[in-house]
Amino acid sequence: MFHFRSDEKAATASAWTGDRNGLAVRGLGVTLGTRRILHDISLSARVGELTAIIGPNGSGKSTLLKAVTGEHAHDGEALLASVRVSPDNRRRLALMRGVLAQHTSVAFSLTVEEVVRLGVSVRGAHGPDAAMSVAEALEAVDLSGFAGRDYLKLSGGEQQRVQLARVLCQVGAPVGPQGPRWIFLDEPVSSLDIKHQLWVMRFVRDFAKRGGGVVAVMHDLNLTAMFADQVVALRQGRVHAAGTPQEVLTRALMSELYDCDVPVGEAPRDGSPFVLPHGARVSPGT
Amino acid sequence: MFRLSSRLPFRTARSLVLAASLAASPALAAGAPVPDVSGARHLVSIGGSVTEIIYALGAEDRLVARDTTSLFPPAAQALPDVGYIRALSPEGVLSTGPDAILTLEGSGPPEALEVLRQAGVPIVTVPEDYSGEGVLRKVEIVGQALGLADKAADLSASLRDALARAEEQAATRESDLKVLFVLSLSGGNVMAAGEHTAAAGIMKLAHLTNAVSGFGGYKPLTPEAITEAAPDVILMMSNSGDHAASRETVLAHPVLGLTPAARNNRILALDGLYLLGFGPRTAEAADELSRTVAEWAAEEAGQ
Amino acid sequence: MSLASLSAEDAGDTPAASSRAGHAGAGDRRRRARLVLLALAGLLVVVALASLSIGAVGVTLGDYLHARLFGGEIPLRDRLVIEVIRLPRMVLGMLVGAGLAVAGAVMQGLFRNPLADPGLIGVSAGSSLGVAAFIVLGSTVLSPVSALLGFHAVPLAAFAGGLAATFCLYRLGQSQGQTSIATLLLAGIALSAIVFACVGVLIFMADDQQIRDLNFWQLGSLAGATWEKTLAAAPLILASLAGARLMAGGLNALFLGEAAAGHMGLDVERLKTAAIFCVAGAVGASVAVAGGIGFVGIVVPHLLRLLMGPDHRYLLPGCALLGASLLLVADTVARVLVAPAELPIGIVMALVGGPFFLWILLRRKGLIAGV
Repeated sequence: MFHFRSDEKAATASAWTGDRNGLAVRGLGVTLGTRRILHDISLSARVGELTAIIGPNGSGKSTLLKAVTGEHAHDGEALLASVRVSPDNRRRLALMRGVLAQHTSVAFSLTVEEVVRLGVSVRGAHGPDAAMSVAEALEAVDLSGFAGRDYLKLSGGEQQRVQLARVLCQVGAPVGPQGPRWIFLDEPVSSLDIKHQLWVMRFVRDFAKRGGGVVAVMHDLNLTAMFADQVVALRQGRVHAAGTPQEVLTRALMSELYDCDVPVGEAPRDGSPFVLPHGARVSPGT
Repeated sequence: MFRLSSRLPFRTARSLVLAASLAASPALAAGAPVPDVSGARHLVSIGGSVTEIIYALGAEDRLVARDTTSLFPPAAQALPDVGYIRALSPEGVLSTGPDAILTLEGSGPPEALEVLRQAGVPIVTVPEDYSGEGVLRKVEIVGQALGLADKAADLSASLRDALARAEEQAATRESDLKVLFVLSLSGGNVMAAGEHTAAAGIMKLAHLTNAVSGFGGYKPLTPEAITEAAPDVILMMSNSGDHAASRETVLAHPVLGLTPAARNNRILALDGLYLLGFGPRTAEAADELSRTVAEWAAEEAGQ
Repeated sequence: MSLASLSAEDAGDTPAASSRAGHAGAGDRRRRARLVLLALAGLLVVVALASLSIGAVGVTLGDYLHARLFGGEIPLRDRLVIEVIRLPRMVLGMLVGAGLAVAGAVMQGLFRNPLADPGLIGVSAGSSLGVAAFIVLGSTVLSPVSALLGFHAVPLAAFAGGLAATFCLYRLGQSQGQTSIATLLLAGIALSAIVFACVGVLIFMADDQQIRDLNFWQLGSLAGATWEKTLAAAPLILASLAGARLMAGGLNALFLGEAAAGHMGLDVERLKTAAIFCVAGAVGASVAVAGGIGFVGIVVPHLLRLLMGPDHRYLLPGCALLGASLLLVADTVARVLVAPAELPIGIVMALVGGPFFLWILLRRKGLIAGV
């Protein structure tokens, strides 16, 4: 079996306390109402990398993302660049990281530019630490020329990209004067067409390569294999496995994770894993 | 959103337009000094009975405006109307150029009267009481304020006689017919007069028995309470606009229609101000009331 | 009206804003918003001066100023009409209109729903109960209190009742330090039902004159405006207006929902608390001095969102200006239309606001095309 306790891995890769810029989670748990959703989660994510969180429906991926971004209260410890994730630090955190939710509803009829500008407002449009401009952010998500459009009249995929642009404006450059910045994404590409799935994934990987940090909840295992540097697999509210895509995206581990047969092949070009559902045998009840 | 529903409880209230104006709470400490506005040539009269008294004293040429409830004598209706007795507008009142204002107890709102006082207009408050004594007291105070004490004494004396005669007559006509005063029938709800109302006051003057008792003010009656009360006579106001119950609506009412009063068509509708105003015409109203009921009582006895 | 009519030639402040012809960028809307604010300020000045000049008494502001500044003759009574009646009434009307409109906009921003009404947080219900209690029980059970307060008793009762209901509701809506807007809404409905039932009990106990008073109070009026009342209400309403303006950025962030606003560094809980008490203060004070005046809080923000977009940095000042103007116009109509009597201002507002509200609803249902 290929079970990484992620803190073990963290200890080997970069000392637990050593990675001052990383996301460090230790013994994190989340209870919503009376239900314990996450148990004893420990993991680390580093700047310069895209960390993907995968797992079956209900495994706690989104909850984990919400916990490490401060939306859900948690026990245990979560530090982002040595700043404790807690409501008291919301302002500091907002300057360090942006969060793209699975779905963001916009009340009232705003233009695309007005939505994106809300991200600018966090950091301010001027000064040495200025945010990315609205135009740059829209260009980054392939929505140049959409500034004046009515947000509510866009398609779901377009809206999701507008929100990403808004997050990019909040975050600004991958590395700022105070250090690297982070993007947390909850299924960022699930409503996008294939062109924009690749467009957005390339952009965020690039963000990481330029020194920022990216944590993304992913459903698409192939995109995960293509773009992730580290994969954390959740199952029933616990870390089931963590490691590189090659280490985690194996037939055995995936079949166990998703409770069904998941054939995994090797991509012809770079040898990265790819999932081929054609041969999968789904057996309910196993 | 809630505003819409918040109005609901008050809807009933709107049916009470006229009666409310006539039904100020009784008693006001007697003996307070009455401001002397005898020099005033431009009077605003607030309150139906006050206006009637001013006319009865022959001082109507000094009136420049009246309130909505001042409907008698008909000549009064030609005067500018400054609004409902309890919702006066200070500027509206001032615009009629008064140098004194006579108000029936309960006029308002208090802020408006306060502003009028600030504007230097003396205000005479005439106490309300649903009794013969109350009528005489009103006459006395209005007369005193207007410097017409002599005329007021004459009027008071003749009203005292009339009231005494009416009551005397009424006493001889006493019957066991029970009278129900119906204020309104809006929405099929029967609003009836209990104790401490102008309606109860006039019934007392006319020596009539109220078919319902045990509560004060005007209250909606349940169908059972109406059946239980079994009124022999239904008394109503004839002039309170669309809220007034007409004879037909009473006869057609599922519960009122079954009362002895409706079956024998003993429904008496009188002018609201005449019946409940407690002004110069009260003796007459009490007499008419007792006489009509007495005729019906005789009819009943003859059957 | 169509925002698209603002073409891209008006150049937004970013290249992207102007790159798509036929659509207004946010830059255009902001420029437009500034123009609208300027126009609204002008409107308010005109309306305010007019409200000083128009009334049942024939005196105008011109007469008054001429007399005061150049020593002309003016009868004492006319002077008093301006100083004691119209001026406090104008100031009070502006305060109440601004307070109600801004409170509406804040509520809508907080609930993220353009139809949210300050009534949702129980303030109107609470005020009604306070007023009903004093009108009905003022001469009996509560007589010591009403003797002490005189005719300030009813305004104070309205204010206290509004604030108390809001506070109850706020506590009900809170669990584990979080205020749930949905719980708040449902608790508000339940609380209002209970409160109005209590009002119903009071109405049953009331004599008809008291019912009549309640009825008039519900319909709202500025006829009782005095300097005393105006000065009592002013600090609260002005503080609420200032507080609302400070919340503009936070309310903007709430466009994206509480979670996203939190991720952007906003203390959402603090904003909610501040907004609720701000609204309760403004509405409580307004209702206390002017009774129930509906629709300002819905009509004004909605109209301005159509004109200048939803950005609260412009919307809130705009609401203050337009709300003040609208109320002054309604009040002037109310006192002139049937002079020397006057209509309750709530009736005038509802006659304007009711059809407008219906129009909004029908438009949302797509029954009325365009705009």
